[in-house]
Amino acid sequence: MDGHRRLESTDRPPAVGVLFNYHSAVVIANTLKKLSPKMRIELVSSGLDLSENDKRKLDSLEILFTQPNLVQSLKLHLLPNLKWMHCLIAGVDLIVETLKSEKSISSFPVTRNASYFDLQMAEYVIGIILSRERRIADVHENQRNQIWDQEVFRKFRPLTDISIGICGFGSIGKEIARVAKTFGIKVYALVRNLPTEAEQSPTVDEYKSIGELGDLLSSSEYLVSILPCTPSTNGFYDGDVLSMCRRKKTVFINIGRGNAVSESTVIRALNEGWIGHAVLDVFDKEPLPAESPLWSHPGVTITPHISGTHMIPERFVKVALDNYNRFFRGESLLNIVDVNKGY
Amino acid sequence: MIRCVQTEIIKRLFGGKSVNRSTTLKMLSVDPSSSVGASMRKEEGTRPLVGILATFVGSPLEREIADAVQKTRPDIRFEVFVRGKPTISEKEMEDLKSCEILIADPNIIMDHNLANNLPNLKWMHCLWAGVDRFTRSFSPSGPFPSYLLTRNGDFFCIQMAEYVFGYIIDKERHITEMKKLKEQSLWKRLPYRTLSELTLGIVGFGDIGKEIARVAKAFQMNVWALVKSFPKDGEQGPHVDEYRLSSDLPELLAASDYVVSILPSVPSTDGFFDGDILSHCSPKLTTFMNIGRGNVVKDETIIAALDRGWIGGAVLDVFSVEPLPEDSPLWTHPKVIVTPHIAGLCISGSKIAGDFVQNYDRFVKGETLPYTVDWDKGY
Repeated sequence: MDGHRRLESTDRPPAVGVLFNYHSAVVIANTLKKLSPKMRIELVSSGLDLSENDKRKLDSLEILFTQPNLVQSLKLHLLPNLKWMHCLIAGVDLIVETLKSEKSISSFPVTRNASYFDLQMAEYVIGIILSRERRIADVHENQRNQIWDQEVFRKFRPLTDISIGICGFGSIGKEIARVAKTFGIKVYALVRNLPTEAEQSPTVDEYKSIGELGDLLSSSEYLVSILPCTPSTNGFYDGDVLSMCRRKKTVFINIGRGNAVSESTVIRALNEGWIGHAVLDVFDKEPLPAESPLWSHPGVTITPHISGTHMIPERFVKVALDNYNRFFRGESLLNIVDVNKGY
Repeated sequence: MIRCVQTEIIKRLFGGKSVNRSTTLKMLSVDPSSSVGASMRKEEGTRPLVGILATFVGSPLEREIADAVQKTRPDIRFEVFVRGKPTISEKEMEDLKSCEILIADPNIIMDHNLANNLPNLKWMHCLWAGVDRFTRSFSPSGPFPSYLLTRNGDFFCIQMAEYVFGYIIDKERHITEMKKLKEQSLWKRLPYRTLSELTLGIVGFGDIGKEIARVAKAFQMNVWALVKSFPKDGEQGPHVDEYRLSSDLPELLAASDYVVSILPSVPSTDGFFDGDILSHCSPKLTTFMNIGRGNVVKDETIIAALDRGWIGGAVLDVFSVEPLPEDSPLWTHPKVIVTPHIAGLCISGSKIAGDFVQNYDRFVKGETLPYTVDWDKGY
C-alpha cells in the first residue's frame, strides 16, 4: 500500500502524532506549527501507563513522526489507523525489528530523516582525522609543559597524502566523500553494486565491491563504517577481516552501528597490530557499560554516539514536512525504508 | 647563441664533507622550445647554476627537491647544496654567491647576511610563504636586491586550512574533552553546534584566505572576508557571503564566531588588533585565531580581551616573539591554545619541486612568476 491519500479541500487534515523524547518533542511540535500553521499536532506518549485519553489519541492517528526506541515500546496495535510513519532519525533498525515482529501491521510506509545528519557526521569524521594528523593532543601536552618544539611536528602528513575507505555508501557516506575530497583525501567507497560510469561520483577515486573489501582495507589510512544495522552487517568486521588493515595500520572509525564489529574483535585487531587505532561512536550496548575493556584500552577513542545528534529544528523537520505535503498531494514519499533490506 | 661551457657536478655538501669546486656556469640563453631530449643532446653547461640553501633536521629535504626535479626534468641540474646550520663555510659561501638561481630558506639568508651578497643571483625562490623577515630588513624606499624573489604560496594553502578547521572542529565537537571523559570512563554527551550554523571572518584575503573560505563553504559556514577593496562585479568569489573593508572591521568581528587573521607582517598591519578593537567580538564571544604574523596583536591584548569577555578563546600559531618566551602568560591561560608556528610547516620535496619547475620554465622565457614578492608591498 502506498499510503498516501488525497485530501479534499473540505477535509480537516488528520492530526500528526509526535512521539519523541519530551523536550525535543515540544521543540519539534512548535517548529512544525511555525512552518506549517495549518498542521494539527498531537504530542503522544509511548509509556507503559497509557491513559484512556492517550489511547484515544493513538487510536485515531493516521500519521506518526517518531524515533525508533520509542516505537519499540509502543504497541503498534494501538494505532490501527496508521497510514504513514516517519522516523525523525537516520537509523531505523529498531523500527524494522518492531515492524517485523508485528507483521500484520506493517502495511503502511515508513520513511526516515536522511540527508539532515550527513554534514554533521562528515564534520565529526574529518575532525577526528585532523585531530590525529595534526597531533592536537601532543600540541596540548607541549603547551601544558610550556615546550616550544617545532621539529616534532615537522613531518606531519598533509591530508592530500592519505586515503579514506568508506563502508556504507548512502547519503552519509557520500557526504563524507565530498568533505574528504575538499581536503584532497583519496576516497575509496565500498558499494554493493558498482556504479556505471555515468553514475559515478566525482568525489570517489575508486569504487570497490564487497568482494574487494580487502583491497579497500589495505589501501586506507582511515576506514569509516556507516553500515546500517541489518542481519547482513552483523559481525561484518569480525574474524580476521581487519587483518587486511595491517599494511597501513588503518584507523578504524565506526559511526554506523555497533553490530558490525564486536568488542573482542576491536581489541584483538589493536593488540595484533592490524589497526592503528579505533574510534568508536556506536556500540552493542549504549551507554557503553563501565566494565567494558574498551574504556581502558589506549588504542581506543570513545565518543558517546554523538556524530549526528545535534538538532537544528527547522532543518530537522524538513523531510517530514516535505513528505507531509507529498502525502496529501498523492506524490511518492522520500526516503522510504525497505523493511526487508532493513534500511 | 648557446656556448658550451664545461661543467662537472658539484658534490653535495653535508656536515664536514669537502666539496670539489667546479667552474662556474654562465647562463647565456636557453631555447625554450627545446624538449628534454633535445637539451640533453646539447652540450652541457647551457643551464643556469642552481643551488639549494636550506637546513632541515632529519631528512635531507634539499636532496628530495633535487631528486624530484631530476625525475621529470634532467635538464635542470642542482649544482650547489648548502646546509645553513650550524655554520656556512667560506667555500660554501663562494658556491652560494656563484648561483644564478637559488631555492632558499629566507631566514638562513638573513642569518648570514646574504640578502645583498649574492652578486650572480637572478632569481631566489623561497621555501616558505612568509618572507617578512627578509622584506622588512630593507628600508621602505630601498635599495632592493636586483634579483627576483618568489615565495611558496600554493602548497601552504590547504595545510593552513587543515590547521584552522582542525582546531575549529576540535573545539566545537569537543574532541579533546571527550578524550578526558574516556580517561574517566564517563559516557557523557556534550551538546554541540555544527559549523553550518557559524560565521567565519577571514582577515587577510590572499590565496590562503581564499582556500580557507573554500573549505568553510564545504561545511556550509557563513563567510565574511576583510579585503583592501571590494571585488568588482563578477569577480566576487563563490565562497564569500560578505566582503568588508578595513574600516568595517568592527562589523566583521561582531558577526563572527571565529575570526582568522592571515595578515602579512607589514607596517600597516602592526598592532592591527591592538587597542579596543576586539571589544566588538563580545556579542558572539568570537574565538580569535592567528596564523599570519605576530605583529598584528600583542600578547597583552589577547589576555585582556579574554579577561574582559570580549573574545571567548584564542588559537595562536604566531607571536611577536618566537619561540614564545617562557614568561608569556599565553602559555598558561586556560582559554588560549599555543601552537609553535606549525600551521604550514609540512614541506613536501615533490610539491616544491613541482612549483619550482613551473616557475623555472617561466623564468627562462622571461614570463612573470606567480607569488613574486613586490618589494613595495612587502609580500
